Amino acid sequence: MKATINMSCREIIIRRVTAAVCWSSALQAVLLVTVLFLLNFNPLHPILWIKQTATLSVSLGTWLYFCPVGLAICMQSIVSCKDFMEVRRYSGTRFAVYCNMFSFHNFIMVTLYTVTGALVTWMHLSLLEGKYGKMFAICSADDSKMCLVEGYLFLMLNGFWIGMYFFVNDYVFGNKRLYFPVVQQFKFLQVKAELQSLMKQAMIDSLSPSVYFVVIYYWNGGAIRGYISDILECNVEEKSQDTILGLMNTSELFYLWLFSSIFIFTIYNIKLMLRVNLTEHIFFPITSLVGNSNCLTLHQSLAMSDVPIIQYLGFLDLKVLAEKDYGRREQLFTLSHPGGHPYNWNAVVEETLKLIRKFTEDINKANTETKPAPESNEYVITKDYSPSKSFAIASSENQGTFVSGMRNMSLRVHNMSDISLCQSPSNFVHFQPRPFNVSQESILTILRLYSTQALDALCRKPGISFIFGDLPDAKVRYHLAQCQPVIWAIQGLSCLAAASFKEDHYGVVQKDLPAIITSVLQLKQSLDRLQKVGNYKRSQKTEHHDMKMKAALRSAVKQSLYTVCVTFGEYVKDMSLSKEVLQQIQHFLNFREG
Amino acid sequence: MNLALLKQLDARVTSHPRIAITRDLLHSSICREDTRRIFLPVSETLIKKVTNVWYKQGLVEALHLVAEPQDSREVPAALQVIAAYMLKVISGINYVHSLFRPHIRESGDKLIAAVSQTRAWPISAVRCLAWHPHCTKLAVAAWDDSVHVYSSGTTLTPILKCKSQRAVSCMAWRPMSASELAVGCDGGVFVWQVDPNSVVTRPSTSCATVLQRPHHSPVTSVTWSPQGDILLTASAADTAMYVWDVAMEKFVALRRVGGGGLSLVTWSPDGSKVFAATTGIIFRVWDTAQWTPERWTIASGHVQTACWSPCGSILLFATSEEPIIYSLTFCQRETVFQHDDASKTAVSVVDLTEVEVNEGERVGGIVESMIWDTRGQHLAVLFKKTDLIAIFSTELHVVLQVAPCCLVQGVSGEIPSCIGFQQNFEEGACLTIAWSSGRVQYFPLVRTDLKSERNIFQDSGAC
Repeated sequence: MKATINMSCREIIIRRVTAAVCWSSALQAVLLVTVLFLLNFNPLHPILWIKQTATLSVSLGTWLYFCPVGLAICMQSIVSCKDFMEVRRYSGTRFAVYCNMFSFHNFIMVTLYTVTGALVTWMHLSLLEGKYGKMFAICSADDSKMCLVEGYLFLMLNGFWIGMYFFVNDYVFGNKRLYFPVVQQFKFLQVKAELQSLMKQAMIDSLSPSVYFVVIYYWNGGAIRGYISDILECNVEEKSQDTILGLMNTSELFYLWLFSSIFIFTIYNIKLMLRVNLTEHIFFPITSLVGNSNCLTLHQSLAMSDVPIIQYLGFLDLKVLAEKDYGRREQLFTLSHPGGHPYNWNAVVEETLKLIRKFTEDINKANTETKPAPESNEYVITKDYSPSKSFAIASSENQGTFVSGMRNMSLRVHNMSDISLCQSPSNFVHFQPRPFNVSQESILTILRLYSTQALDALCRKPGISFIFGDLPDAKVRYHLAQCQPVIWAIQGLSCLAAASFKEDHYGVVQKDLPAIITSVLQLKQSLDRLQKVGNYKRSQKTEHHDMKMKAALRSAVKQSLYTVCVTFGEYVKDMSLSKEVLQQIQHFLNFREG
Repeated sequence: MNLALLKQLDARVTSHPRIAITRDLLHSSICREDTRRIFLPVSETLIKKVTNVWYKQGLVEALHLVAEPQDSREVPAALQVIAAYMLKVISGINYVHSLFRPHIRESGDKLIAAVSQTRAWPISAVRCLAWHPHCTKLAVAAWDDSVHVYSSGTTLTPILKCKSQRAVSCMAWRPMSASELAVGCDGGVFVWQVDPNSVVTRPSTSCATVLQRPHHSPVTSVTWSPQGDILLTASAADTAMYVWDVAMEKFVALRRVGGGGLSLVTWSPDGSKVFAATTGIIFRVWDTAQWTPERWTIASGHVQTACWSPCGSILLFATSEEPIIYSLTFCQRETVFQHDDASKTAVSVVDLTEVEVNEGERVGGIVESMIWDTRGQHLAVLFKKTDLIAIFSTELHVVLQVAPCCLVQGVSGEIPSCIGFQQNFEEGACLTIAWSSGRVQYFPLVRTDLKSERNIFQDSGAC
């Protein structure tokens, strides 16, 4: 096993981001040389061709041109790694989602994307020289004047455009999650395996924005050209390019597509390197070493809920430790030397159980929150009033509710738990004993009721409910999207429990076994209640991902309960577990739980 | 032998499901062809016929139909010539393709038959069987590619079948789960959820997660990690093996140069290593901590079958050319006394040269399949040519000791198709044999002497 690394949280992140920046800059440089090599293609003079490329690649000028791009990559890596350093904000309504789009962070990002897009184009144009190498050239009509080269302008504008387009397409609407690989390989192999498919993806992805740009340029190209030439106070060629024939220039279109592809690949490259470097498995020490009190230990990393990436790495390490690392497991199960307390184990299990319990609580809360509060109110109040009113009104009111109930059921037919909550007798019991008498209080109640009803009615108006209404299951999905550490936590705990069967000589795990089993079972119950969430709208990518997350969590919960049951067998019954828990565990012991 | 124990043992097996895959259980595509023959032949127009064949059997078959029609008046001569040329071009492309990917000499069913652990895979009534690791539950894949799940205590046998599940070549139950079965077939891997509480006998396709990758078919081997969180799949036509997170449908492809397609992967029971055999002379043993392979070569042929000892320190394998079982020893923890060279070569453990036992019965030869029970006491060997199953008793002391135990013969005319050990048989080992007649037989093996007690004790001590 690799030696554990003694670093503080800050040190870990800085090191990884630096590595990511270096790797992506290096790859970008390699890409630049390759592009130069290919574009200087000269089949008639192959030696000249190679020589030219070689001189270009070693000349200082080339790398001076590369510097700004490298800087942009660096900036972008640093800014976008911030996504993984912070807990994602919850946005329950569409309005909140839109508001989040106009954050300061996104403003910086869009600037960076646009600048990078322009810089990539500028660098390649400058290095290729040729027709579009300079912004100005001697006019074809008048030798004494300098004219704006429209091709240059066209390609540079595309640089800005692709930056902006890709920001919206990839960053705003795309997936910002950090995917951990299924198994840890060497970083180089991971990059190698991904490169080819990313290159292909970039080439395909650049097609549609290029087409859009050509169309936009066809409509507005002349105006933009005029505007730019006014600002720069320069002349333009008489023949404009914003005609269909002008846009049919093959070499220009090729460059357009090529630079778009290179830019998109640059972004993918940055993301890939960040992912590979940030998700690399790390071995946290169990106890802080003497002399380096600054270093991050395992249980400290588990508690880092405000820096998700460190918490993720911590739980991943817990899982790996539980499955594969005998040495550190031994360290975890030992007692402290003076005193004989299992501090190491206690600290880890406390943090882990805290996370599992908090997640269970969040899920339960989110699940009950989705219950339609105003409707149940309406339902109950009508019931309350109906005896005192005439039968006709009551029945009509009843009918009204019934109809609205029907409609709402059809809206929420996916969420079975909601319906059961509405119909549960506890609601009636709570409201029915209240006597009906016309007093100031009841008038106030009615007024309040009407005002809420009016608000609800307003909220139900199509446009308003679309923007301000709660998104269905938003809260549940928000929590599910972040359940990866929970998965590792339960897998790690169950594996540790299984390992303790043979390795735990002092019985430090044994005292916590009932707590572990109970919390995992509680999580299972709340997940069972969630059964139907997210079973619709399969089309959207992120929602599909949340659904898979739920499946993964469910399967991990079952897997870990089975791990405990298979290892301990009938001994499980001897633990101090409550009756209900034992009953549920019995299903697992009999292998009757699907 | 103790009579009471024998009775008890008998009772253990009598509660097992009785399985016989008979011909009338099978519903194959051939049957469908037959039903078509019952009806009167209809004269279809050429275009209809061609589109029909294209839809059902693919472009190449459609071209064949046009190039070599039964009634040559039906197809214009020009079309025939064009179709013939196109066929030539396709075969030329295939030839060039095979030059670039030399590991694929055969394709489809032939390839599966070449690397399969089942004897006479294309015609065998039972294509493979898999015991559940924790409970008495047996999955049997029949010749018509339906998977029957038998469990003790219930007569309900769910049948897992769907149209794209064709040419089933391997199966594995997920450890630490009651109900998940990975079925490797021509179209990829189907991970079925067989709910033990459900009374549905034909679960729908929605109960299955399909894992597919381009070029990764036919899948010839699947194996789960012992913790049950990761699935590993290999295809004899693909040089990469895929590591899957099944619920997330995420994967990582592991690929190394050399050796060709991967025919067999098995995870060691302790989870620290993965054995991966290629269709060439190379096989690899992957270390699962960093996923780095250790490369081994054999003299000729390919590794036909391999199995791990229960503690994961010894690997037994047999090649497709020699009638010898080799063993490889891996030290779990490095010690001072460990001799470097000794652990770096495979040692031949058993010589299985074909011999004649009584009255013309022959045993031995090239090994088709080899399995080791979960206690490491019995090793069962199925041969390619001879019809007896050999069982060896093994002891895992400091070195591996193998001694012949017994031979198993079927009812007259029966040849064994595939074998498996029940994973949760507490009294000893229960060998399960699927015979060519479709009969599945349980063969319990129990050793009551003190020696085996010691063996068990030492096992748990050593591993």
